[in-house]
Amino acid sequence: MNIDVRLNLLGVLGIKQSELALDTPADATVATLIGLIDQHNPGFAAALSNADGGLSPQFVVFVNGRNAVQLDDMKTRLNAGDVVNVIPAIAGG
Amino acid sequence: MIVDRPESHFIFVVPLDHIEYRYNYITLRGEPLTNKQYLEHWGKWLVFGLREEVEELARKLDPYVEERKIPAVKYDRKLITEFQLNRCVMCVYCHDETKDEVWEILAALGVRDKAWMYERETLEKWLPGGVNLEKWIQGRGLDHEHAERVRADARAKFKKMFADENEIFTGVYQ
Repeated sequence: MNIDVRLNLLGVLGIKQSELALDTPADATVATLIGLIDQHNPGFAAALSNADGGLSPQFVVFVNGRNAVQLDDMKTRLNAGDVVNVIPAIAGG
Repeated sequence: MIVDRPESHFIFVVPLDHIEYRYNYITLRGEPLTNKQYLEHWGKWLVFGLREEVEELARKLDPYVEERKIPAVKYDRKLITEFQLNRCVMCVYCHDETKDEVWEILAALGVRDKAWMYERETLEKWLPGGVNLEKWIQGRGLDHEHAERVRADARAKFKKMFADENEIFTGVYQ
């Protein structure tokens, strides 16, 4: 299934590509998506994960505008057509 | 109305009535929010862009703010050097009950990044141990004593602001 990802990292991780259209398995979660991005951007998964395997407080992952931490964190299920945004937490106003 | 006070890091878009008659825009259906309601329901859509991009968007949002379809907007005057970000951040404020209507306006104006954040989340990031306050302290290169003073001030300010959860929320001077 297709998931649109917009990385608004605002220079923080040095990743140049900001828009990705990823083809994910049907049962994909936020963790799956982060793993896919990490394949082309080594270090991405480590930066977005905390020591317990959850999402790092240094970044915010939004699924259709909602903070994934308030959904099911790394286990948040994704659906075809979802839009995922990633920002550094410090950019939150 | 776009309010640009040079002493503030932020530029605001607020209703003219707020400036002239102290109209409180932190409301739901005309009712001002209590501190508790504010922490539970008030938030913003985040928009990122270069200064000229957010400035142009602010001009387009101004009429919606005057019509009270959007309560208020604020954006960075310049990049925050302590945070080493390469984009300005704009916050488009509203109650969570009206966030979908506000999003429709933003989407119609070409905003594509869909990122909703509650004010509570942001305030927590500015408390001791929070990512924003700690990054800010680090970016300023404050010594231990100065950093501790900043942390204590942040804690005291938050405690004072929200001491009574049933009081009407009176805002944060920025």
